[in-house]
Formats: sequence, structure tokens, C-alpha cells
Amino acid sequence: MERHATEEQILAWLDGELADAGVEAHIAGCEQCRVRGSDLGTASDAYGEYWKRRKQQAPPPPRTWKDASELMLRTPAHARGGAWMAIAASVLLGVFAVWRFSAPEKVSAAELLGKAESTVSTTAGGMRIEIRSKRDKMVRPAVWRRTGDGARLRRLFASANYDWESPLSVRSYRAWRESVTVRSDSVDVQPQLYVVRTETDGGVLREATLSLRKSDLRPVACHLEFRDDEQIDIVEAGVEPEAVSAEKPAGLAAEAKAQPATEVTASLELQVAEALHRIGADLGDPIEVERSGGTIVITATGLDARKSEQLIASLRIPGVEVRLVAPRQSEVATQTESANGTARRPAREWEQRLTGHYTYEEFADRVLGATEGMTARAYALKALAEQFPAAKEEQLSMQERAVLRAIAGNHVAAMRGHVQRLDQLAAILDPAGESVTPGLVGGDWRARAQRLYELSARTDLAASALFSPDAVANLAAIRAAVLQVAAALEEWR
Amino acid sequence: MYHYLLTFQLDPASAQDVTQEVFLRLYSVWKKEEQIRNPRAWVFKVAHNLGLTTRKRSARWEPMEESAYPAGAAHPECQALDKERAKLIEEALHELSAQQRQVLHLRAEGLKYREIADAIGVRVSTVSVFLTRAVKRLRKAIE
Repeated sequence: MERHATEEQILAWLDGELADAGVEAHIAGCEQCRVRGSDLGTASDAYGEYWKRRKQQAPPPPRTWKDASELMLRTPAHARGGAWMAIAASVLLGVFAVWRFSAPEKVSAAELLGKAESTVSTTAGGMRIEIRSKRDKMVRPAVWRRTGDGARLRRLFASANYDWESPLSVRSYRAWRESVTVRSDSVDVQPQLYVVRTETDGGVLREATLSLRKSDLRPVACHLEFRDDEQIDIVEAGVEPEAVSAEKPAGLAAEAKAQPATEVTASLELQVAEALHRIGADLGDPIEVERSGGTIVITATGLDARKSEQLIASLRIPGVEVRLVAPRQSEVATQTESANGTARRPAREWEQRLTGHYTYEEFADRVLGATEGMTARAYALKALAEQFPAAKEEQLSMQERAVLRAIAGNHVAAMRGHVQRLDQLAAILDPAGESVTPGLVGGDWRARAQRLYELSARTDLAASALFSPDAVANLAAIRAAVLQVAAALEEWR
Repeated sequence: MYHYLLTFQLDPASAQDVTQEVFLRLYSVWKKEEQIRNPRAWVFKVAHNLGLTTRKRSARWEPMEESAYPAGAAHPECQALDKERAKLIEEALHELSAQQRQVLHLRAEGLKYREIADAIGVRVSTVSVFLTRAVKRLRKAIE
């Protein structure tokens, strides 16, 4: 079992002084360590505030600062010089005085990001963002679990190890930053914003900039510069004005209203998770689940009438409110354009290997279908694990725990099917692929879910290379990635 | 720098003298074209040493009793809470060693662990330990 970070390490992490990337990664992913960090951070901040106020209240220097020439006269002979020295010393003292009393606010990137992540709660339901690159522009929900759209951008983000589901968030920025071993941070303090910039020499993404609003540390813009000169800007695009779609089936608005609020318990959250799972709405549908006071709010964007009805019928639960939001036209149009952009012909050698099995189009469809299915299941499993940490699972009854495990089991079983199909397809191109010995993660199902998600994302990325001009050179890596997921799934038996 | 020197219980006039002395020494070094790898750490180190020396040969100055949280425009209830918290922090500070307090002050001034280590003449790992103990003590005090 992985050891937790010591308090020295956590404090060093808060101060941006931790040199051990492994420990840093652990803290970033460990709720227990982050909670301990939050406690230390509170005390540390309290002292910082105390020190600032104490300085404000301290007695001022009793005399005016002496002129440098006067000081030079009383300094030892070896340190004295001519008049120019006095002038220089005067300037020097002046510079120090200005530096000391008007120096820009110094902010540590790690500390700022840590504070921002603990301060900013989940993204408001219906919040949208605009993502703009040289080739694409799209407006989409700020938190988006749909796997099929914006394929080029999604793959670009995956290759950079930057979270696509929620790209304008402190969590995603920190996760990327912490995945980079050699980096350089800076914080530009502007009147209304903190602008955090991280540069690195390795990886696909060479620089990322996140702008945080000073008043509440909320991320409002992100700029990404990739090594191939691609640049992406992400900004907030406001909250969707139509809380309930005009295209919704008649009568849904009244039905969507929450029943009188009850306390949001782990049991209620499980009921919602199970309801969504029953109708397959936990597999990449644009549905956000969040707590709002004593209510669980489900925000669904762009569902068709049938799915909307299904959703509302499944979620007639006291304390649960469903909000239906229509997609914007620009989003739909751009998604189609981006998705079409991925259809590229493979190299001739590659195509020859398919002879007798599939046409290129059939093969591409099958690979994409299996990959999408696998990643959707892996994401759903990871989301379930994050929604029900061990402490919350303990609040459930034995029967409810069995339901939770059954949902996880369904995802794993479905994932096995997708991976098996993907392996069969990959074997056509690389029959020599060797079996992989699974690297055991350990007993906790949440850790295994996280591992499966990482491996699936890697496989998804590798599979996308099948459609690149140098796919043949990558065949072994693609097959190996698929086999690694298959091996990791064995741990669930 | 001046405020840091006040934490050595120097009276304001002595703290001011030492501050000016530190910068004159810096100037002197630069004039001789000697290299200083990290000027910020260097000035705090000199200040630290001069502060200790000066304190030994002069009477200790007792800072004013008022809390570090002066009355301002804040809500009276907030002021009371702030004062209470400042009092708890001050009590906790009294229980810390001088070095632990200095490490806290230097970090609050924005020095990095390496710079603090250079300034007070300890190892970086010791700075980390001092800081953690100090922060834990503060956390316990304000809980």
C-alpha cells in the first residue's frame, strides 16, 4: 500500500518547495493528504495574515533613513570611496527602499493553485466554455463527459495528459502541472487576476497559462501552447440561458422540479447513480450531477425527447432536481466539423494487412466503436469511484454497498467485451503481440478503477495512431496498450 | 528587513541602524566585485547575524502590548474574532523556539527554504522540520 506523505512533505508541497515528484503526485491524488494539507494551510495562512498585520502595526523607524554619504563617512576606511560611491550608495539604498516597500506581491504557483482548488467548488450547472484553436472552435459545457465529439481536440488533450472533460479547471491544470517532472512556474499578479504560467521542456504541451480571478480564485481563462505550434484558448462562455429547453416534451418542466429537499445522504447519491446507470446515462451523456444545498441537481444538455423522458422518469426521487438544457447551434455545427476531420486514409501497407478481414471503413468503425465503449466505461467507473470514496461507502448499508459494487461490476464486464473486440482487431494488424503480466494495483477497487481509466486513455490515444501516416511503426505499441488494459481487467476477477 | 530585525527584540532605532548597516555591507561587497550568489538570502543572513550580535549588547525592547490586529473598518464581531485569533497565535509563538519563530518570519517574508537555511545557518531539511513544528503548533492553537 502506498504510504501517505509526511507533514513536512505536505507543508513543503503547499510552499511549492517539494522536490519529489512521486510524493507530489501522491498528495495530488490522495484526499487524506490534501485534507491534512488544508489544515496546515489554514494555520500557515493565519500566520501570514498575522505577520502582515503585525508589520502594519509595528512602530515606524524613528529617524529618517540616513543619507548614504553620511553613512559612508562612518563606515570603515576600506569601504569608503569618493563622491561617486556616495551617489551610488544613495541610489542603491533608494532602490532597496523602493524594492522593499513597493515590491510586487509574491505568490507561489503551487500554493495559489492549492488554495484555488480547495476554494473553488464544482462548476456551476449549465456553465459553458469556448475552446478555440487554429482549426476548431466549439462551445460546450464546462464539464463534459461525452467521448465522441471534438475528436481532434480530445486526442490532442489526451496526448498532452491534460483533462478534456473539464479543461478550464484548477484541478486539470494542477494534474497536468504535477505530471510534468521538469517545469518552471511564474505568477503574474494583475489588478484583477493571478496569471499562473507553467513551462516545460518535455511533453507535447510546452506551456500552459491559467488565469484566476483574484476575488474568488475562480479560473476564467486558460491558454495552452503545444510543441507543434498549435495554440488553444479556453474562456468562460456564460451560463446557458434556457434552463429548460423549448424543445423539451410538453409537461417535463413541472415534472423536473425537485420534491421538497431532504438531506443529501450517501444513500440518495447512490439512488441517483443507480438510476442513471439503469438508463445508460452514466456513459458519456452530457449530464452533470452536483449537490446544491439539500438537493441533488442533474443538468442534462442536448438530450433528445426520448432520453429526456427516460431521465425524468428514472429520477422521480425526493431531493433530486432535473434541469434540461438545449445545445447551442454553434456547438452542434462545430462538433460535426471536428469529428469529420479525423477520417484519414491509412498507409497502403497498413491497408494490405486488412485484406480478407475488413474494408478500411469497416475496420475504422469497429476500432472507434470499441475504443469509445471502453473509454466510456472506464470513465464511468472512475467517476463512480470518485463519487464514493471509502468514507462515503462506509455510510451505506450492506445492501447498498452491494448495489454500488454491482454497478462497478457492470462497467468492468462491459469493458472486458470492448477490450476483447479491440484486441481481436489489433491482432489482425499485429498478430505477434505478446501477453502482458498485470502490474497489480492492490485491493481497493477505487485504485484499480483509476488505473483502468489511465490505461484506457493511453489505449485510446494509441488506437488513434492507427489512423496516422506512420501507423505501421506504432502497431506493437498499440497492441501492447490493449493487452495492458486486458491484463488490468484480470485483477477484477 | 527592518520588521524582521524588530523580531529580535531590538528597539526601533537599533533595528533601523542594523538595516542600514546590512545594505552598506552589501554595497561594500559589490564594490569589491565579489560575487553573491543570492543577494536576498545574503542580506537576511547578515541581518540575522547582526541582529543577534546587537541584541546581546543592548537591552531588550518590549514590543507594545496591543494585538497585531488593529481596530479598523471591519465588523466589530470580526474584529473580536481577529483579536482573539491574534492572541492565540501570539501565545503559540511564545512556545516556539527562537529559530522556529525566525523560520516562520522569514518564510512570511517570502524567502525560500534554501534561503532561510542560508540565512540562519541550518540545513534545508531542518528548516522544513522547524516550519512544520511551528505550523502544527499554530494549528493547534487556532483550532
